[in-house]
Amino acid sequence: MNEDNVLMRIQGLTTNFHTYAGVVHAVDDLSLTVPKDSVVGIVGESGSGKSVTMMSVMRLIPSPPGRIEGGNVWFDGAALGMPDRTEKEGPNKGMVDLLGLPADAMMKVRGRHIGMIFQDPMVSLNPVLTIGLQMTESMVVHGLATKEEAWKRAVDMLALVGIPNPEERMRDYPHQYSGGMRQRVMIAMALSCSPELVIADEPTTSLDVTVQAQILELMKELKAKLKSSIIIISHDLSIVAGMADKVVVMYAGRVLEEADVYDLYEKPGHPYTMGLMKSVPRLDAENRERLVPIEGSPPDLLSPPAGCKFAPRCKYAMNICREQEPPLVMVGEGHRARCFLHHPAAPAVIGFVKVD
Amino acid sequence: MAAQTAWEFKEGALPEGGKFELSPQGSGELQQIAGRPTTYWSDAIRRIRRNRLAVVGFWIIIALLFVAVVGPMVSPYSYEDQDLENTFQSPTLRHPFGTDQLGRDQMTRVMYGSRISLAVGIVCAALNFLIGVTYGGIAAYFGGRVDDIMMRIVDILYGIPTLIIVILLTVLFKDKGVSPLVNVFIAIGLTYWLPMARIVRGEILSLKEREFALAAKTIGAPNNRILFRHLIPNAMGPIIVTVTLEIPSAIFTEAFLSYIGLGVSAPVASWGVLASDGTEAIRSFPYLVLFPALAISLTMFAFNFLGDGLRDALDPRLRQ
Amino acid sequence: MDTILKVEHLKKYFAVNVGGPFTRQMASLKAVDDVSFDVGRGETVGLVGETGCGKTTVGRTIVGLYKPTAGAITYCDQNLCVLTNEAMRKVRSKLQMIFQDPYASLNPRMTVGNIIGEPMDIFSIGTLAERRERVQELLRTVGLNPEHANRFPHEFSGGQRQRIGIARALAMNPEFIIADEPISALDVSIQAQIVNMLEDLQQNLGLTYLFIAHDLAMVKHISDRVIVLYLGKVVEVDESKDIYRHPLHPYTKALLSAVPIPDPRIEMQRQRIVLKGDLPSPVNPPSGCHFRTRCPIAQPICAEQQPELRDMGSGHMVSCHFVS
Ligand SMILES: Nc1ncnc2c1ncn2[C@@H]1O[C@H](COP(=O)(O)OP(=O)(O)OP(=O)(O)O)[C@@H](O)[C@H]1O
Ligand SMILES: Nc1ncnc2c1ncn2[C@@H]1O[C@H](COP(=O)(O)OP(=O)(O)O)[C@@H](O)[C@H]1O
Ligand code: SF4
Ligand code: SF4
Ligand SMILES: [Mg+2]
Ligand SMILES: [Mg+2]
Repeated sequence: MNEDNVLMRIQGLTTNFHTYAGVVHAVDDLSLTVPKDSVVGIVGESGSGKSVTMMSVMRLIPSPPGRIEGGNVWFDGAALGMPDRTEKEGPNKGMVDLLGLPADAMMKVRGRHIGMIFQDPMVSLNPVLTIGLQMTESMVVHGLATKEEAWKRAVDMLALVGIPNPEERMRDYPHQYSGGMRQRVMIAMALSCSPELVIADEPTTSLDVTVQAQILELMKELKAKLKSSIIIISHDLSIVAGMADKVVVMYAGRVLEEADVYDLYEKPGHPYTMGLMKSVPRLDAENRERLVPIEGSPPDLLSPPAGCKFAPRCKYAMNICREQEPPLVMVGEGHRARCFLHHPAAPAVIGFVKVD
Repeated sequence: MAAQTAWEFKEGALPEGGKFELSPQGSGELQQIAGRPTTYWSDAIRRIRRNRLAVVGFWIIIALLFVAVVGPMVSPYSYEDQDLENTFQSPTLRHPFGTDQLGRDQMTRVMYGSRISLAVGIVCAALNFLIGVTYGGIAAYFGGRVDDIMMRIVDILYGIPTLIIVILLTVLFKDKGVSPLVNVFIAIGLTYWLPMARIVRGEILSLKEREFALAAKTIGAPNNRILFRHLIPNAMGPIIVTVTLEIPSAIFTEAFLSYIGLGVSAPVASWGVLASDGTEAIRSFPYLVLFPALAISLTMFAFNFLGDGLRDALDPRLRQ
Repeated sequence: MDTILKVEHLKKYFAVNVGGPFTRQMASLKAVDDVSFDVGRGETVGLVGETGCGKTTVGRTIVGLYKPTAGAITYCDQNLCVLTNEAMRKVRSKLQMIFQDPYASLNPRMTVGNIIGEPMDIFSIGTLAERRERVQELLRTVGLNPEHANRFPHEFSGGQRQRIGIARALAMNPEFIIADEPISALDVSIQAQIVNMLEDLQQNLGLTYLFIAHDLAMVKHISDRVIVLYLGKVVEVDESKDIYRHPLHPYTKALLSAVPIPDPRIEMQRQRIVLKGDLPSPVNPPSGCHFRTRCPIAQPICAEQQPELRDMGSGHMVSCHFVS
C-alpha cells in the first residue's frame, strides 16, 4: 500500500471496560487503515466493538469504567497542522498519534478534522438550541469563520443535504425536524468544518427503509462531491455494499476480515463473513430457500473463549482453533483474514477460497 | 506490509496434522447462558454496600430498633419513675444522660421515646404500602375518569396541612378518653400516603404501556393480576425509596407536634415532649434538650442517608 | 383453504392532543383507516409499511389490546368485537402475539419459568408439576436449556429472550400467532435462527402467522402473501413471490427499491426510486390518495379522489388510479 496515501492508521488499539463483573475486552489489539479519499465500511453485530473503536479514536470513551489500554491512532500530520507533534521517522513518519495528544489539542481535532454522525440524531442534538446556533457553533469555535460567514455556510450546508427552505429552518429547534431531517442536519454539521474524516456510526439504523434510502443516496452523492474520507459503520452487510471501497468485518473486538468491497462479497475469506451472507434473505432471490443461520450467540466479552473467538459457532472449527487464536494473514491483494482454514495444512472447504 | 504474514504458532513449530481436522462443536444444541445468576435485588445490595453513608445509616437504624426494643427492658429505671431527690442531675455514670426536673432517668426516657418514634415510622410505612401503593396503582392502571376522580381527591387532601388535621382531631376527641397518640397516628395516616400514591401512579402510568404488561393481557391475565403481579413489583424501587424518605418526615412531624403540645404529653416520653421540656431549662441544663435533639437528628440523618443510597442503588437508569 | 381470520373495514382512531403542552386540543389520529383482509388457515401473511403506518395497531386490535373504532374482526366465525371480556379471554389463548422488543416484553421481576408458565397458571391448567414439565418442554422446543427456567430475563441475550417470548406464546397451544416485528431488534446472525424456528414451528404445530415487519426482504422470505400499508390504509396485496417481480403500486415499488442488496455489483449501479420527504402525519393525512405528497406519478385527480382497492386478478389488489 502506498504509505503516503494513509489518512489514519489504528495500530494495536485495546480498550477495556472495568466493570464490577470483570474486565470487558471491548476492543482487543485492533489494527486498521483508512486511506485518503476513500470509504471504509465496518460491519459487525452489536457488541462487536464498532462504536468503542470509534469512540477510542475520538477519545470519548467514558472513563471510568472505560480505559484505552494500548495502541496508537496515527493521523495524517499534514492535515492536522501540528508539525511539532509529527513523527520524524519510522513507518509512521509524518503522522500524529491522536492517543498521545493533550486534551486541548484533541479538542481541536474533534469536529474540525474528524466529524461524527451518530445513530440517534435526537440524542446528539441539543433540544433547547436552534439548529442554526448548533451548526454555526463548531465553525466559530474552531476559528474557521466569523458568525456571519458561519451562518452563510450553515445555510449552504443545509441546502446541500437537501433541507428545503434552509434559511428559515435554521431558526427551528430539533424537535421540529423529522427523524430523517435530523439525520441530514447531523450530516451537515459533521461536514461543516470540512473534516478530513467523517465517522458515521450506524447513521440509518433508527430510520425507516425509505428514509434510509434517502440518507444513503445523500451520502453517496456527498462522497462524490467532497474530499473527506468516510468510515461507515453498520450491522448490515447490505448497507455498506453500495458505498464502501473497503470493508472491515469485526467480531468480539477484533478484525476478522478486511478486503476490497468486491472481493469481500465475491470470495469471503472467513466463515463468519460467509455465514452473515447466507443468513439474510435476498430480495432478488428467485426461490424461497431456507436461511442458513449462524448457530449460537456472540461470545461474552467478560470471558471470551480461548483461541478463535468464532470457534464455538464455526461450522469448520478445528482443534487448533480452540487452542490458539489465528493471526490476521494476507490472503490476497489488500485482503486479510483471521482464520486457520487458510493454513496450508487445513482441509479444503466448499465455498471457501483459500490462498496458496 | 508483507504479502503474507507468517503463521505464528505458540509452540514455535507447526502443530501436527491432526490439529487441522474439522471438528465443529455440535450444532442444534440447546442454548446456554453464561455467568452466575444475578437478580435485581442482589445487584442493588451490591451497589448499596459501596455507599458508605447508606451503610452507616442502615446500621444506625438497626441500632435504634435494638435500643427501642431492648433498651427500656434492661434499664434499671422506668420512664415514669420519679426521684425527687435527684432532679436535674448532670450526666453521670448512674444517669448517663442525667435526670430531668422530676428526677427521671433521661436515658431511659430517650430510649422509650424511640419506641414512639418507631411506632410512628411503622404506621407511616404500613399506610404507605396499604393505601398509597394500592390507591396510586389503581388510579393509574384504570386511568381515564377513575384516575381523574381519584387524583382530585388526593389533591384536596394534599391541600390540608397536617397541623390543621391534628387541631381538628384534638378538638373532636377532647375528653373522649382517646390517647393523643391516636390523634397523631390518624393525622399521619391521613396525609402520609399521599406522596406515595402520586409516585406510584406516575410509575404505573409508564409501566402499563410497556410490552410486558401488554403481553400479560394477551395471555388473558385479569386486571388485578396485571397490577399486583406485573406492575407493582416493577415499581418496587421507587416505592421503597419513598417509604424510606417518608418515615423520617413522619417521625419528625410527631416530634414537632409533641413539641408544640399537640401530640403526646407527659409523662409519656416522646422525643418531642423531651425536647420541649428540655427547652424550658435550656439555659441551666442544656443536656436535657441535647440528647433528645441528638436522637431526632441522628434518626433523620440515618433514614435520609439510607434513602438516598437506595435511590441510587435502585434507579434503573443507573444500572450497568 | 378455509379462512381463519377475517378483518373487515377495521378502523382504529386514537384521540391525541395536538394543542401543544399547555393547551388541550384533541384530534383523532387515524392509525388504521378502513383495512380489510383475510388470512387462511396455515398461511403466513406479511404486513409491511413504514413506521407509524399502523401495523402494530392492526395486530394489537386483533388480539384485543385495543378496542376497534369501527369494523369487524371475525376469528373462526366468531366476531371478536362483540365478545364480552370473559369470552374474549378464552379466545385469546388461541390467538397469541409475539412482541417486537425482547427487552421490554418480559417482566424483569419474574423468572423465565414463571413467565412461560403464566398462561397455564391463569387458566389453572394442570397441576404445578405438570406445568413445570410443560415449561421445560417449551424451553426445549424453542432451543433453550430447560435448566434455565429459574433464571431472570436480563441474563439472556436478545435472541434468547425472543425465544422465551415465543415459548410463552406457544404455551396455550395457539392456532394463530401475530408476530409484531419479532426479529427487527435482533442481530443479523440471530435473525435467521428465529425465522427458521418460526418456520419449523409452523410446520410442526400447524400455526397461522400474521408477520409484521418493515424489512421487505424478510417478509418476502417468510410470507405467502404480503399486505402493504401506507398511513393506515392497504395500498397493495399480492402473493409474495409476485410482489417483487411485478409491484404495481408506486409506494410498493419505492419500498422495494429502497431495500439494499448485499452485493456491491448490483448495489453500486442501482437506480433507486427515492421518495421525497417523510410520512405525513396521520392526524391530517393528505386529501384523496394518502400517498400523493410523495408519489412520483401523482396527478391532479389524486388530490381529489381516493383510489379504491381494486382486484387486478388472482387476488392481486392495488389502490391507485393509474394502475391497470
Ligand atoms: N396508544 C396510542 N395513542 C395514540 N396514538 C397511537 C397509539 N398507538 C399508536 N398510535 C399512533 O398510531 C399510528 C400507527 O402506529 P403503529 O404503532 O400501529 O405503527 P407501526 O406501523 O406498527 O409502526 P412501527 O414500524 O414504528 O412499529 C402512529 O402514528 C402512532 O403514533
Ligand atoms: N460504558 C460501557 N461500560 C461497559 N461496557 C461497555 C461500555 N460501552 C461499551 N461496552 C461494551 O463494549 C463492547 C463493544 O460495544 P460497542 O462498541 O458499543 O459495540 P457495537 O459494535 O455494537 O458498536 C460491548 O460488549 C459493550 O457491552
Ligand atoms: S479459525 Fe477455525 S474456528 Fe475460527 S473461523 Fe477459522 S475455521 Fe472457524
Ligand atoms: S393514486 Fe395517484 S398519488 Fe396515489 S399512488 Fe396512484 S398515482 Fe400516486
Ligand atoms: Mg454501536
Ligand atoms: Mg410497530
